[in-house]
Amino acid sequence: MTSEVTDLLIKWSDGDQTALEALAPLVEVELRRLAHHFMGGERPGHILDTMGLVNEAYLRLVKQNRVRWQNRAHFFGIAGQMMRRILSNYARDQRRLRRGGGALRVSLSEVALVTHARLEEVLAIDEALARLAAYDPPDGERMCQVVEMRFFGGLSVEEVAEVLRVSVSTVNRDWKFAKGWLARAIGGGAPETDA
Amino acid sequence: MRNFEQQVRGLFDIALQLGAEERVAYLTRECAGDENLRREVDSLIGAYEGHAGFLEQPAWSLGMRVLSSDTAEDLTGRTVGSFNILRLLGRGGMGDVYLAEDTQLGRKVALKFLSSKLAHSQWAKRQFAKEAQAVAMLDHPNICTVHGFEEADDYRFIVMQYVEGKSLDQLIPDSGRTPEDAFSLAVKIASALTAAHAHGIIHCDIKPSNVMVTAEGKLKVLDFGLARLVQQRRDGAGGGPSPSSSLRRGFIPGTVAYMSPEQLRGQKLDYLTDIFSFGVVLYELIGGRNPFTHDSEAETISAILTGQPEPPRVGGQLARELHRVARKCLAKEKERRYQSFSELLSDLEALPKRGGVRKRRYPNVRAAAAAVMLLLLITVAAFAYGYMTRTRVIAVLPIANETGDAKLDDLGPGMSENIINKLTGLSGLRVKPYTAVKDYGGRQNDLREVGRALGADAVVVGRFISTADGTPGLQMVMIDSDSGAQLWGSVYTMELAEVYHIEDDISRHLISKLELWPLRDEAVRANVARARNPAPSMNAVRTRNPHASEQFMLGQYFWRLRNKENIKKAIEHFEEAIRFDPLYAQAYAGLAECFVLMNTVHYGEMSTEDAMAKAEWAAKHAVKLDDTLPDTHTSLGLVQMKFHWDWQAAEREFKRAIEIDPEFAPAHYQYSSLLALTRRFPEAVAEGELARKFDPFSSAAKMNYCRIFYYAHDADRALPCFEGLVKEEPGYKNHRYMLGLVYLSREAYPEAIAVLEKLYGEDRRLTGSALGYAYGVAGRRADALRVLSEMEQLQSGNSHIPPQEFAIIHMGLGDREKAFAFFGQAAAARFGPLAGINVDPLFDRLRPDPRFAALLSALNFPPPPPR
Repeated sequence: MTSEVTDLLIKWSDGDQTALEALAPLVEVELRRLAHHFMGGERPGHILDTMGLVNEAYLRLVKQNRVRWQNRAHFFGIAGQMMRRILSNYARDQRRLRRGGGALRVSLSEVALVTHARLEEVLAIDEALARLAAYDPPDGERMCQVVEMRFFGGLSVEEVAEVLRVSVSTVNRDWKFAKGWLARAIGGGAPETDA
Repeated sequence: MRNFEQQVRGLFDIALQLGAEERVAYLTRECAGDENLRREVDSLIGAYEGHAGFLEQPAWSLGMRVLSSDTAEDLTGRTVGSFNILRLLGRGGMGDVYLAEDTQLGRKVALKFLSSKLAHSQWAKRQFAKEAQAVAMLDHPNICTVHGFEEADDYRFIVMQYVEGKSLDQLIPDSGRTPEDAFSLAVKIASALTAAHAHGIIHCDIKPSNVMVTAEGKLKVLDFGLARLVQQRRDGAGGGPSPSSSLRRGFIPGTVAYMSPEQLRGQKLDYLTDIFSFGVVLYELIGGRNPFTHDSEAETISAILTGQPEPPRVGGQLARELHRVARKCLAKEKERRYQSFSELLSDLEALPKRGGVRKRRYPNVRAAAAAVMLLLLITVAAFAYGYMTRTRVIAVLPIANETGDAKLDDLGPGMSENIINKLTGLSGLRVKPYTAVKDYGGRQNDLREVGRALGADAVVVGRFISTADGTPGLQMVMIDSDSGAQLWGSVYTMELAEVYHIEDDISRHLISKLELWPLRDEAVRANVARARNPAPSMNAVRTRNPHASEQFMLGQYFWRLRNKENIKKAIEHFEEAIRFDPLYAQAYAGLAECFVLMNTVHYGEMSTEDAMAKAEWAAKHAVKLDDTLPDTHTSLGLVQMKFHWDWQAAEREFKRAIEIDPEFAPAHYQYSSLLALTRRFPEAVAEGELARKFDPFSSAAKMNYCRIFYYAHDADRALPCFEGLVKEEPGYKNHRYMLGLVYLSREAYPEAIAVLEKLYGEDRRLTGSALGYAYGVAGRRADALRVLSEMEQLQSGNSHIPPQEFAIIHMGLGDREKAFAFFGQAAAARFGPLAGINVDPLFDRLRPDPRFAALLSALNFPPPPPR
């Protein structure tokens, strides 16, 4: 099993997207397990929004899975894509539920309200990313991956560079441009802020 | 040449690194009057700088939160469908569980909501509903009852029993439970799993947190089938086989530390995965800790795949024994585990309960007893068949103990009594009750004397002896009371019994002993010869579990001896076989055939709806498990023929069965019946001959053969045929019933009434319609009306009488309106035997009526041919 996963990871980092399809469920299960471990029994609170936890989660995951995840970059590369998928599906579900159950009273705690706003943002990013991927092929797709890994996966610029096998400065350039492009796409127009 | 987009990106990149003034100058120079380009770059820079914190906080922890809850919604206080949701009981990977009040039934229930990921897939929804239905059929004190699956207000959830208590993971102290506690908890969990497996449901996620214990100490296992559902969803998610599917298969959200090696490897799972997980739980119950858990998951996985658990640090006889049981469950290769929970349970139940001095145990005594019982049944069956013209009396003496080991003293009488009880009720046989024989234990000098004193035709006697290697053995002998000749005899050691391959050895080896018997019937001889050199079908008992195979053979035995009680017994044995081996395709096929029979006026009183649902389920399950067996195809064909009246589909199945095994008698028999019903008489006769040839013992096959002539309106051949059968097997009611019908078709009313009246005295339910009809057409209206009212009384009692039976009486009375009304009911209820009207001469009077043609078309028959 281990070698299969390793093989898949290598294939994926060589650009084989079908390998990702095979890995995705594994990663999702790992993520879910991890999430349950951290959130087990506790109500979501502000402390969970700190970077410290993300790092701890990552370290723990890597430690536990050293057999499966040969390196941090591979894991986070996939984790980023997965997280994008999970979050945007979830956000769509929530939106649908709210619409479908319009007559019902929806009680949301303050935390949940924050979550709600954040989810809407995630959804907007997800949708904009789909358009960014088509920008200036083939670079748009890479920019898209950079965002996935940085924003959804929590990778550093250096790590992204390692996964994508490009230079750090390329990742930096992609990241900045994508931020500008996405901010404009979502914010609904920079000219006002420019003015 | 750089395109527009490349230009934008290049300018954006450099401009960001410049101060405000330099930037303006730079952009003005580079854009060189290209307003479009300039605007684009400016707007991007503006957006970038205007949203400083944008994307800087990774969505990771948000994702964690979503993943851990799967829904941020709390439904507490809401009303969903007819349920008021009271409070959240727990959140899990599969979805949230709430306590709710069912406002319609006024009871508290637990609702398990499908997680949003699962809820929105049509496929998952269907599977979930199906699974919930299957689990809802489980009725066991140690299984949390599932009431059903519901959809309301855009939510999908399982409604189940609310169990108030603590889950087992909260109830195991570090030192473990006491051995007595552990024992009793383990027995309850194992019996829940036995029941589930018997229904074809694998749990796949057995762990302490899925076991609830109430304050009163009741134990309930939760979440049957749910883990498997998720697993299936993962399999199915890719839409067809893909290289990754095997990899995905085993990954179920759950606790790795309770998964079996095959589950971790992502292999296909069967019932034995639950045995492993149960072993982990049992180990934890005794020792207080999971045997495989390590700090990291990788180490845990590696421990499950390759490590040997340390013995728990506990003392005491019972704890050690439980640990032995746990270790057997935890074998890495599933073949070395217990092969079923019933096997495990019987091992558990044999343990000394109080940790006292352990009795010397003969682990295989149960198996030996069962094997012996089977031998007796087979022998006795042949015995009874050999003398079908009169009831035989048999005496089974208490088994004596000559080993000098006092522990066996109690076993012998118990076993004898057990055997007597099992034999009692077989047709053609009378067994002396235990009270009559109990004083004949010990060594008897003259068994002929004993036999005569008891008025028995044959005496069976057994004794425990010490064999050469010191293990106890059981010697069994059957003596003919008249001649004193030994009819058969054999010695079984306890070890041997367990590994005994009934299908290969017992039947052949023992039936061959029948040659010693006075065989008067050519057919019996043929069958003995066949039994000694079985055709593939007879030999192809596809189970490796000797208990299952034994139960299957018993089931077949009773199924062949068709009568009401025996069909019920057959069902019990087939179900027992499935309990021992839940993947035993033939046992499901056997069950299906029994359920079909349960919906006939002859054998059973099960309603069509019930019988059809059960038979169809069992037959389809059988084919799914193994479609290379003639048995499974025959049972499916039977269901198609009897309940769906789908003659083409049924014919395909029978032909397939015959193709697999050209000597498979039941397929020929059923096919012959189909051919007769569809008016293909010459073919029906040919098939009927084959059925008789390959199973000369079968009374039903003989009856079927003669019935073809009756259906073909060839009374000149049908009459002597049935007259012969009635002489040959007077105990078989169907022969006499058919003889009555043949007389009716010849308008020989007095003869018909004589036969049917006598039979009516024995079995009203079977004969009422034919007798009532006979009275009616013979002009004895008063008698006909009396029978009618007696049948109505039967009906208003607890006996389900198919509407067709009333139709026949009304037909005899000349009341066509009522007759057709009842036929309509029978057709609507899809009462299988109604199909007979297509050919049965009994219905000839109605044939010209246009309503008859409509009836035939409901049965998927062409209109009646002009006569």
